[in-house]
Amino acid sequence: MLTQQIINGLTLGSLYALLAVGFSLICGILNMITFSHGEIFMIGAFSGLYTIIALGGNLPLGLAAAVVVSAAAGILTERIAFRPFRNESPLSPALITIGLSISLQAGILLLFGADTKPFPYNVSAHKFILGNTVISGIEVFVIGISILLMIMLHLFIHYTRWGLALRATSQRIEAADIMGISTNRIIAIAFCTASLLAGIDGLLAGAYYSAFYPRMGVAISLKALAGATFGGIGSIQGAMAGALSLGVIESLAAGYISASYRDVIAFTILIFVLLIKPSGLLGQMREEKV
Amino acid sequence: MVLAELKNISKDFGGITALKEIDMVVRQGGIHGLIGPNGAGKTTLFNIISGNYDATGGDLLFEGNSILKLRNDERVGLGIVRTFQNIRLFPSFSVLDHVKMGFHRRASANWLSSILWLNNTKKEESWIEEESRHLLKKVGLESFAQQQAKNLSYGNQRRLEIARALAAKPKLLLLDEPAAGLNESEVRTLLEQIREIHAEGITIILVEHDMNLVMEVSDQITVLSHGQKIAEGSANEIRNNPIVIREYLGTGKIEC
Repeated sequence: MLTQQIINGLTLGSLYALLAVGFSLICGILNMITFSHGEIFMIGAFSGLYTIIALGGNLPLGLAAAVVVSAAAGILTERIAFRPFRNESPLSPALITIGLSISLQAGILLLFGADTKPFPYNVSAHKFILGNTVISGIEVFVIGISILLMIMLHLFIHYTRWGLALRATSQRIEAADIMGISTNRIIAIAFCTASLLAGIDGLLAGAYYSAFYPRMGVAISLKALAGATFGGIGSIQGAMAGALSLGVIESLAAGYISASYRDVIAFTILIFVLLIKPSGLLGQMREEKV
Repeated sequence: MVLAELKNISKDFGGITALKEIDMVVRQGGIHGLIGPNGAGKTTLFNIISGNYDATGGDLLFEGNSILKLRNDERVGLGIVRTFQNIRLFPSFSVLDHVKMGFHRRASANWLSSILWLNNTKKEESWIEEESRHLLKKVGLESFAQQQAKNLSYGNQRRLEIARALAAKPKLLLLDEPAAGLNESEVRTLLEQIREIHAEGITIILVEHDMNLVMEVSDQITVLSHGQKIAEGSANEIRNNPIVIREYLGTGKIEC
């Protein structure tokens, strides 16, 4: 029972984590929050789903479609909602992305209808049974992909010149360009990376729950944002840790206390941690970000 | 041969004229001193060349092309690199990271292939690491590579600033008061460094209050006063220029 709940929690947490690192990347660089990240997740999921259906079950191409569409949406979001307001109130991008998120939901609703679409393949067919713990193939797949992407992101940020430029931009945007770093480009890269992770996440989540619908990104993106804050927003490792713990806490709460109070319990714990440590689990007070 | 040319460069700050119709020719391979009393417009001129400020009027040519419309980072890409009077440090970065940053423009792997570690990403990253350590050694900071830059002494921070600038492989290096706050022996080391950099074929523009330093290394000196160019010539010509003596040196202080 315990291992079962932890496996479920890690799966859930992995889904949160791919969104949470995106929030962290964007917030780390711009000190602004995007509210349409959940919709980028959703359109990634839809483009992946319909590509897979159209091509008769080609999962890699589905993932590629999710990546391309969500990355493009992310770059567009930065252009219209963030770049014009770089030195202005962070409320403008917040309002614009809220508007964008409503429009994207409505657009998908118009195009594909309100009904929940199932994933056309049975992804739970393969099961691994260890004692009394059952791990389905999709859980292994979700956790595996998520861990792989996190490792790639970590190596990118800490061991490449682009990562160095990202960190430099997040620390002192006004000094980075004098070093020859195109900060506009770096910000676009941050949005692109955050968004393509969201798109992959959308397709994974849709397949895991076998449910694709216009509002599928709303609750999960709020949870991911909470997870990122919990772990220390602005720090990538913090966002990963926060999102994974939120998933596990939720799952344990559902298993041992009450399934209907899972969110209440998870958020209560989150609020208490933040009361004691406002910068989050791994967050440092405004020093190293990204 | 001309490397950079300022034509009629003016700069107003809300009606106050900081620079008025400055013409200046920077010769390839030279050390060009820029002097003048406080408020003469030296740093403003630097900021216009490096792209931190937009000029109000005039044109700026680099290797024959107008570059006034280029961003800071694009000018770094062309080889115009500057150091700062007040060092711009990145709080959590190590000394080595600061130098590595200077290489950003010189590597070719794009970010997508960097995420996937494709092509020559790995080779390029180790090249950057190696070259950065080499530069640190050159300025005598190799033993501080892993330390946080903010913990360096003032003199060492200035050296780091120079190593960082050299990492970008400048054609034109703008040194903004590199000797400020240094003691005498540090100034002598700096002098050696400037000569070494110059010997590598890098053209230098030097803003400096230490008049002896400027007179000693510069082959061409431009004198600014109240935003206008009042004289230009070799160190000897400047020393004996009556306008300079009256306007500037005549105040009784050689170091202003």
